[in-house]
Amino acid sequence: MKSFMLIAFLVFSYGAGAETTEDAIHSIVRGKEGEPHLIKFNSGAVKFVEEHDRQKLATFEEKLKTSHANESNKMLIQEEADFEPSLVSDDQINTIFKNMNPYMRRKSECSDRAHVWAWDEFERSGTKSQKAFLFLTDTYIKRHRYKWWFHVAPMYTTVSGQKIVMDHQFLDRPVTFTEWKNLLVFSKRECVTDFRFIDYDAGADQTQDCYTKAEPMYYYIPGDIGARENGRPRTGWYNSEVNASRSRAFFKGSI
Amino acid sequence: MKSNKIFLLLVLLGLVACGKDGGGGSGGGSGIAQNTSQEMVEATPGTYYTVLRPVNFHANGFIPYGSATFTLTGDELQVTTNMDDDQPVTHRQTLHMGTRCPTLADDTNGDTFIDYQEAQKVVGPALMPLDADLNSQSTGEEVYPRGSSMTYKKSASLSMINSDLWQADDDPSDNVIKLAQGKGIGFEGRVILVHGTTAQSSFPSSLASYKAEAAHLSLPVVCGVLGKID
Repeated sequence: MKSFMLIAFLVFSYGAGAETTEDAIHSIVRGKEGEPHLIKFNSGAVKFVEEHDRQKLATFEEKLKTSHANESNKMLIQEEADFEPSLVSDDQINTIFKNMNPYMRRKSECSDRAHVWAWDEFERSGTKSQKAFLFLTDTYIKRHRYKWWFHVAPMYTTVSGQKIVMDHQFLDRPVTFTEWKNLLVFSKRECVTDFRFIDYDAGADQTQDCYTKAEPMYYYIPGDIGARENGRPRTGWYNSEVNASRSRAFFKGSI
Repeated sequence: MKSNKIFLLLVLLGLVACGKDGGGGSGGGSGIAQNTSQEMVEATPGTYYTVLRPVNFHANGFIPYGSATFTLTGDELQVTTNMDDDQPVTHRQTLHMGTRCPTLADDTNGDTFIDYQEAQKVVGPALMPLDADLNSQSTGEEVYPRGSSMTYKKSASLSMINSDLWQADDDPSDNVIKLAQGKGIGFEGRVILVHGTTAQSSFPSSLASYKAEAAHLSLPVVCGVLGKID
């Protein structure tokens, strides 16, 4: 099975264009009177555009149209309709963490890192992981002047059912999903877990601080979750995406 | 054996010296012995690397991270650090005797931040300020990289570093130590701590700082433990 996937990966490498998402705009949240506008990027970064700066806002709106127009078809390298994460032992958890590539490029993005880490472990051991996505609400972002709106890291399921996040960028050890969430969300409030991403994207419940989702390892950026909710699920890896993520996120030690 | 090591470290701490960084007199405190219990292995040629990870996740809306690389080739040591943090301030950075980075468990006053003093108790005394002159603890004092997205790159002579570390300690009251004569500096398993962020109204008044500087400039931002990679 694994060798088939590797062959498929190589076969479909040909002709698949590189995806570049790091500068693409995910969405624009227009501020109410007296509030800044939020420019949300696929990378997770947030830029604040002050209310009076209409020219800058118009520039970003134009870029948003362009980035949507540039979305291209990608080549699927493995199909799997019913995704179930592998169950791993505590020993495996530590081994997986130790094997994660620590040679991160500067200004690299969490979505790129998470994608490569998940792929590398899958390629190495066949372990199927999930991605833990954390989304902040616009009110939370504005209240704390946060410079990011989502974060993602690989997540593994242990034989005892624990969800363990491997965020090698920010943490020197595996942590439970709850610990990870509490480190990232200052208020430590519980996050909304039962929701559709497209509803979050459309404005969400702004009385909340955060939303979280656990997705199959193939999901690269939040837009992929929205695509599934619109009938276009991800059921495999895209070689161009993994390769492009690797070249953007790591400088050494990659498989 | 272990008690012998601890005794040796206490002797080393008694030799304390210097005039730059690390500072904060009581910073070492009672935590030093337990956090420096890993014997220093003298540096050998090769590359030492660590990811620099956030110490305070909520200092300023941007979670900082970076890396540090020490490359020893013959007698030449090249040190490179970088950090993406979005904060245009000076970043004091130092190699410490300790062997681990502070975590929220080290927030002894419970104000949800790891401040300067709390971090010093974990990372132990300073061995090498990563400033304008790596060859000397005192020369180049207090000249550190500045800016959001900072990069630091300096070269030095290992023999000069060791020679400086074997000098008499001219200020045993500070947190910068000297080494016993003939004991060369080591990097593996040692901690790098980087400080400094911009002021924020939500910082608690309980934040301790280095000497009399503003607490946000002393606030630890990223930390890592060096490991030899080749």
